[in-house]
Amino acid sequence: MTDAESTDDRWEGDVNEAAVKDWTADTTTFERVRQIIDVTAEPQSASEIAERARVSEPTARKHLSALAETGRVKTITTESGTRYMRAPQMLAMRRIADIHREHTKEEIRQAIQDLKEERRDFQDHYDVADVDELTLELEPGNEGWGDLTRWQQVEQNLEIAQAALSLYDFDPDDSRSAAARASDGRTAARDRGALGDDTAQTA
Amino acid sequence: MAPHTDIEGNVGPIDDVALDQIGSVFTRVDGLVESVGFDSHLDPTKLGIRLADGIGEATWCRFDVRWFQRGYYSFHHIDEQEVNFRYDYHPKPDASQRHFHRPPEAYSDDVEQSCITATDPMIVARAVHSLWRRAYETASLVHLNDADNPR
Repeated sequence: MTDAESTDDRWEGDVNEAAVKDWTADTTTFERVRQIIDVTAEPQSASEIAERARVSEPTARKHLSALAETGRVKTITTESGTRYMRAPQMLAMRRIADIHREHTKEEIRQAIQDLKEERRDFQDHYDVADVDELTLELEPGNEGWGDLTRWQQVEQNLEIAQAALSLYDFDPDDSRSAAARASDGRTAARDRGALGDDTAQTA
Repeated sequence: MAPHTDIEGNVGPIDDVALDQIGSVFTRVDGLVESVGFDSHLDPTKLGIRLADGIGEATWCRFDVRWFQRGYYSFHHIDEQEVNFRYDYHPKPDASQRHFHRPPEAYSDDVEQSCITATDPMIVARAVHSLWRRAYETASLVHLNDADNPR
């Protein structure tokens, strides 16, 4: 279906440059720095982050420090200055909250079992102890890169599923009984994990 | 064992934070987006973004998006008319790392250099969307990999 009037919205010039323009028009400098650092899994300098976020270096540094204080950003001090990356626990806690919202304890146990089985298949098939060993053995053009990617995913899933399982009943402040008392016992025990009602998610 | 891909290289595990950002971009820029979701939370392999209409005769379409921790990605389009194409960035012998798998089949060996040069997920997502949107509005697959917008 063609909508004639919407052609006016189309970009001018290069689509990549237009995408940057739209993004900067749509966001504050703080939002851009947060979005960039949230997808930064290798330490980078403030100037590198600034360039990607289309902000000045002092602005990047200011927002990165604020984000580091909230625990969202990890800082690493090196001889050539401070490096920044996303805090790995941020990534894990979001996944764990999603799992607690959608899955029962039994489903998590089953997933762990399946993932361990998949890991064993890879170990047997390639005759290596772990995924790092396979990384060292593969060369460009080899078959097996798809399996390597899958195996890395299996290891990440396992770590997160195991954490999700151990935190399933996590309730140090006894907040559930407190909530039940406060609401006259109308809150029936729900079949989901402790962090499943954590709605503190920001895109 | 591994799902079908043509990735040949160490790309790292799925980056679900990047995928969340990509989902938000599509939802924000296009009212046709019907649903956005991972195939699984325990074992996420892709983010599906479904739109309520498609290019030409297609009545719906979907992007299956993969984004990996080392910054590599794959945006795979499929629709009701079985039109496939893909904007990819990953190691691939005998091809440019940033490459485009042509419609309608998006065969692994039917590739050309991708017009997308952006590197961060929220920018790549906007570029992919703009290219799709132009094809949708003109009901044509011809310029899907053409960064310039002829006026």
